[in-house]
Amino acid sequence: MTRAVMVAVALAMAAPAAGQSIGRTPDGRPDLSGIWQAINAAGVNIAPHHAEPDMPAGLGVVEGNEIPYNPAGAAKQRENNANRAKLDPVHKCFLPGVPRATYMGFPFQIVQTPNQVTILYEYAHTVRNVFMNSPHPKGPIEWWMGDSRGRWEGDTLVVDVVHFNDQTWFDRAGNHHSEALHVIERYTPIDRDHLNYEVTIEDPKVFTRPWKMSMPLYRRIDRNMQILEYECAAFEEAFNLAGPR
Amino acid sequence: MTHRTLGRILSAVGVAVSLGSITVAGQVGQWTPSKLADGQPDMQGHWISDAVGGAHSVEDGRDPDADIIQGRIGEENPLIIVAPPDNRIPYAPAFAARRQQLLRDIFTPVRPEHVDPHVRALLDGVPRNGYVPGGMQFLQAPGAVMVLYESNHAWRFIPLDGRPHAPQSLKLYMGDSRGRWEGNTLVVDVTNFNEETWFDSHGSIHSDALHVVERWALVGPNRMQYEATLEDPKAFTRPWKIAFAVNRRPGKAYEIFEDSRWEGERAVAPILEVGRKDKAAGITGIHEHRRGGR
Repeated sequence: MTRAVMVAVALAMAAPAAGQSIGRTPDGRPDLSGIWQAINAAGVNIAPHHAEPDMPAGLGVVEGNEIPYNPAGAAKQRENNANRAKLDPVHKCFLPGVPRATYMGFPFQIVQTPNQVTILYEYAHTVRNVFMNSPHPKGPIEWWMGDSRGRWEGDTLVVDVVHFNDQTWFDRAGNHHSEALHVIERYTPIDRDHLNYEVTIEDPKVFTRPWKMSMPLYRRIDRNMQILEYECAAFEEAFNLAGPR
Repeated sequence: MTHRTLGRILSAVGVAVSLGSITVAGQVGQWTPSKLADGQPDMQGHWISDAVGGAHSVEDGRDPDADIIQGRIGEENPLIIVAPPDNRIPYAPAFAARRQQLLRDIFTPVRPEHVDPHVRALLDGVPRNGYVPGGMQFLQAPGAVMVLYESNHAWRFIPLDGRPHAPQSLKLYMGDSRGRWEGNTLVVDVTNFNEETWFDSHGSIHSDALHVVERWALVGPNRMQYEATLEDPKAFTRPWKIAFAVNRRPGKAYEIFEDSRWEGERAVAPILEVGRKDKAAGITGIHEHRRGGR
C-alpha cells in the first residue's frame, strides 16, 4: 500500500474529526504530545498473515507486502517463527526495539519539547529520548532501543535511529534484523487525533533493499487516560523463562 | 554540610514552616529560577542526588563492606532519615516482624522475593529511584513534569493539572504522581503503590497504603533540596521523613545512556543457588553490618 493510500484510508477513518486543524506548539511545530496507540495486528506479524491461536489475522503494514530478506535472513525468520515461544525477546521481557515498541499493542506517550522529544512506553517502562538536530554519537554502540535523533521536515517529525543490537524482533513472527539496522521514522499529523507513522528499514546484512511499513496511530482520548505499568520482569513466568542464562 | 546536620536544620525549618513564618527557599537566599511559558519554574536539566551510595540502608547509611573496598573507613556516614530523630523507620509491630524475617531471608535467600528488587532489575519505586546510583533528568512540558531516571530507564510523568489519582485498587511500582508548584517547590503527591518495592537493600518494606509527599525545592541555580514524607498507616506507627540535596550535573550536553538492567541480569540465579545451598546446610543468620557505635 502506498503511503498516499494509507493516508487516505486514515483520513477516511478520521472522518468525524475532519476539518479539525492540528495543534501547534508556540514554535509553530505540530504538537504531537499526548498518548497514542496503533490498532492493528502488526505486533503479531508485520506481513500479511492468517490467524493462529491467540494471534489475530492481519493485512500487514509492509509496503508491497513482501519483506525483502536475503536468503539467510529469510531462513532465520522461519527458524525464529518456528521457535518463537522460546526465542521471542519480548517473551523474556527484553526491551522491544524500534519500531516494534510502537505497534506491539501498548499505549505510549509523546512528550514534546523544542530540543528533546521523549517517548514513554507502557511496556517494560521503555523510554526513548529523541534529541533534535544533533548528531548520533560515534559508535560502535549497541543499544536495545537504538540512538534517536530528530528533525522537522515541514509538519513531519523525522527520527533517525541507529546503534541497535541484533537481539530485537519486529514482531512475534520472528521478523528480525542485524546490528547494522538503520530505522527512519516519520510521524506526520493527519488531524488532532491521528498520526501517520511511516518507517523505513535499512539493513544490508539482512535485506536486499530498504523497505517501508506504515500505519495510522490513534490518540487515546479516554477520560483520565494515563500510561500505566507493564512491569514485565516482575512476572513469575518471565522470571522462569529468562531463567538460567 | 552533612545530611544529618542538614536534617536537623530542616527539622528546625519544618517547625518554622508549620508556624507559617519562613520557607526553605527563603533560608538560602533570594535566587529566583526562570519561568517557562506555562509559568512553571524551570527545573530542567540533569541532576544527581547527594544521597547516591549513602543510602545502602536508609537507617544506617553506607555499606561498611563497600567502605573497606573503597578505602572510606572512618569517613562520615550521613543518613537520609531526618525524622524521627533516632533515624529509624517507625515500623508497626507486624511490619517490624516481617522486616526482621526478611532480613533473615536476605541472608539465605531461596525465593526471588528474598532478593533486593533493585538487584532483580525491577522498578525502584519512590523515593528510592532518587537515590540509587545514576542521575535523573527533569523535562518539563506545559502542565507536566517528567523525571527520567538513568537507573533502569525508569520514568515518571507528573501531571500538574489537578486531576484525581487513579482508582485506589490500581497498584503501581512507581506509584501514581500528581504535582503542583508551591512557589519554587514542586510538591508531588504519590499514591497507588504496590507492596513490591523496598526503600533500600536492607529490606525496608512498606504496604500498599504507602503515601509519599515529595518536595523538590529549587534553592539555587545548581541545587535542589529534596524532602519526602512517608506515611503508611498499615506499616508505620507515624509518618517519617527523608531529606537530601540534589545537585545539577556539572558539564554540558549530558545525555542519559540506555541502562538495560533486566536484559543483563545475571545475579539473581547465583544468589539463590548459594542461598538454597546454605539453607539446606542448616546455615541461618541475619543480614546486618557490624559497625562501631551502633
